[in-house]
Amino acid sequence: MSEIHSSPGYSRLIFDKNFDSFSEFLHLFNGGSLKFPDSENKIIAKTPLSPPELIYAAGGLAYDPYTRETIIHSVMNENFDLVNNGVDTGLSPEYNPWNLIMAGSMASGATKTTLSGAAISCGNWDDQTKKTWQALSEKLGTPVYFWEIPRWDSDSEKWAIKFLKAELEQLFQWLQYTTGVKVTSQSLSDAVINGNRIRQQLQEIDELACSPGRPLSALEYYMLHLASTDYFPNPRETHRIYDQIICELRQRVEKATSNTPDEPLRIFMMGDETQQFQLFKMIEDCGGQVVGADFRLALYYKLIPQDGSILDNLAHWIWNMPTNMPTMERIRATIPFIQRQKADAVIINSTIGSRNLPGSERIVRDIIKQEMEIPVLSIETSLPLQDNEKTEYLIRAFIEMNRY
Amino acid sequence: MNTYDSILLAPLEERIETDSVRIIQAKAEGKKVVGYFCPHVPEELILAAGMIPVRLAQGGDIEAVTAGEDYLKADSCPYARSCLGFQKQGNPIYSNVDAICVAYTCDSMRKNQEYWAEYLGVPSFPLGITQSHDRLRSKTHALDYFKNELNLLASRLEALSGQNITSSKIKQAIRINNQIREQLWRLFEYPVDKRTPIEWRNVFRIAQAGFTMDRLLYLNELIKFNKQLAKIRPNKSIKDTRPRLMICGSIIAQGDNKVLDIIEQAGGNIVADSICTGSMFARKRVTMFGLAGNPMDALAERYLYNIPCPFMTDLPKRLGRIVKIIRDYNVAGIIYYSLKYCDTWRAEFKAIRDVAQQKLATPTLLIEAEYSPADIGTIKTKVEAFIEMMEGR
Repeated sequence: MSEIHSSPGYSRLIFDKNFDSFSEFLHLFNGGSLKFPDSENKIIAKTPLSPPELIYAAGGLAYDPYTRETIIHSVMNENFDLVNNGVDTGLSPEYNPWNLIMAGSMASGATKTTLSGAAISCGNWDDQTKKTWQALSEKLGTPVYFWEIPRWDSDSEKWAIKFLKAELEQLFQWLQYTTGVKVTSQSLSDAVINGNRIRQQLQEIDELACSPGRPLSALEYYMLHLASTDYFPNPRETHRIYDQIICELRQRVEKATSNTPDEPLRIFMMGDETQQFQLFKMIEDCGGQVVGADFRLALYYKLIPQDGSILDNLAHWIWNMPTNMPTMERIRATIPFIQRQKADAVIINSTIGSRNLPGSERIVRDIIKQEMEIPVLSIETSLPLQDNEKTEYLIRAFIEMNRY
Repeated sequence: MNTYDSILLAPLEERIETDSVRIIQAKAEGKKVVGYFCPHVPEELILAAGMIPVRLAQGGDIEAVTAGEDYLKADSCPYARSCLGFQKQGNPIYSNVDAICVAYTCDSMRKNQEYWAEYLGVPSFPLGITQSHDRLRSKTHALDYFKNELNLLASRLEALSGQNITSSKIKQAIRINNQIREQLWRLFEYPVDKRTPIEWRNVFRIAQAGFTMDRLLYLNELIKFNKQLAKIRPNKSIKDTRPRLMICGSIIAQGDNKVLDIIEQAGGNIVADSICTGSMFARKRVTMFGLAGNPMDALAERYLYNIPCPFMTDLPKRLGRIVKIIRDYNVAGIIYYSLKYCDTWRAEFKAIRDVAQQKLATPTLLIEAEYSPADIGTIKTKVEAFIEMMEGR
């Protein structure tokens, strides 16, 4: 039995035991976060919403410690002392627990991953991630390279893209220095092609998640969604496992009976990722079905164009990632996805201590209500074992009120 | 202690009243008023467009903070919440701006721009500013990007005012602001001397008075004031033996006097600062090279590279600057003021404390505060203990 299966957090979660390909996915996830496979490739850390292609094009292994270290150490192993280790690196105890746990894991040596460097994207979101990596670079001595995505504004496009292309070119030089592998148009194209295959799969998983008969449970959907951050252990393996998952889900959809007497409330999740994985079972127990989420949507909102200049395409694609947009534009870019998933309602999660997405929560709530005329519930979550009673009460009341 | 006769030292309430009357009058005459929050916005462009620049940097008001919570959550920085709250409450300066310019610095200020535009109905012009450029200027494209953003801002200001921003108008605005900077810097330099005729706290008040005063009137008053000081300097001031402190960290807004008062009452003597409402505006001129120099280039250079705010990633630059201030002002201790939930400043406390300690054996005290009076007791105890420790050294 692998470590993840014997962890206290795992035993609290109820996974779909008949979902064979997901078990393999979990095994892979576990292996990735606890023991990076023997590889000569250099491991380069990244932030959750930067495209992993950039690192794979340089022959590196992309690793998102924000997601992986937190799931292993906080959600599964319930090692919340890492928050204190995070604070010891210089972060405020008021930071969100994703950054604190990640920093704590890296700084205390709890991580099993040895980084060769970190390519950290910064832009007009989430100061905490940037500052966390700045503190970590001081603490660990790991080379940290900040590359930047300029603010989104239709009037700034010309010079913003020029800036971003220059940033990417400098990033590639740094990656080459760190991994020893030169980024070429060909390696970048290959990485984009591989990444696009995974993007297509993620879009397909979204499509299957919103099929009637609930073929994919919310928790499994959430983990598949989160894990898309870095294509671990490599794009080929990620593609293979997602392929198996999609096959199994398709079979489930074919077998599913429609017109079930109690149709669930179809919920689209937005906002911050949560460490309270029990939330998803709770939603289902209260009569909801998670049909989509925007946590990692920015990574596959559309395919990266493969014709023409790959650098130019990449720069445009990155600049237009919804996460890079001001709130109004971000939500307007997200609404078609919510509609495509045929959501009846939206739940917005704010992680306590997070200030970026929660800061614009009122705008998100108001626009969705105005433009989609569907109900919206705002909830707050924190570390996994936080008292859930209030959240459960809110979710139950929300679903009951809007279900029929 | 010296007393001075200058409108620059008028109490905040008086100043707000005077300046709001002037603003309202100017608006009645057809002038437009443009507000900004962070010092990365070159107010020279607002002046060059024939409009009135005002820096919206009031704080310390718990009611404004609460009013701002209609938009931002209670765990966002109190200054950011109050920026929205003052407007909502009808503060005479905040509610009379025709537009705001918002530098895209931290999360809270970006959200402020969105709420001002979408909920408060005030046209708002965002200004993109790079975060990862460095003192070694290894990212030459950062300056090009920022220049383009300044040109975009200028075109938006032109559209608002209906006036063209010409090179000569920008140059004229630069000249005025450079003179203001020189006069202000002269004041900030006085506390280097232990026999200073003016304490940092008063210089700080004067710097803050400039946020809303008419620029020419402000300049004239600064010149007059510096002349007054030059006369009293040689013989009338006494040597100050209190522990010399530097204040560093988050914004200290107009009206946010809690921590400064506590330090003063505890016997501390602030002589220098590294805060964006203090000496930061004054510390560097906008430099144009020759008559043919492009003023936009000069503005971009000055406003991109010379305001050390921690939303930028170049920590070594900030550390170097702080070490220099400690040396220049003979600082014995640092008070590190972190507004609660100010993510960028809070994360640099440890690095700054360690460098000050290791390089100069200068201790640092972290004060985290909200605008509420609830934490006065705790802060007082910490500050008193810190100052006692300084006195015992």
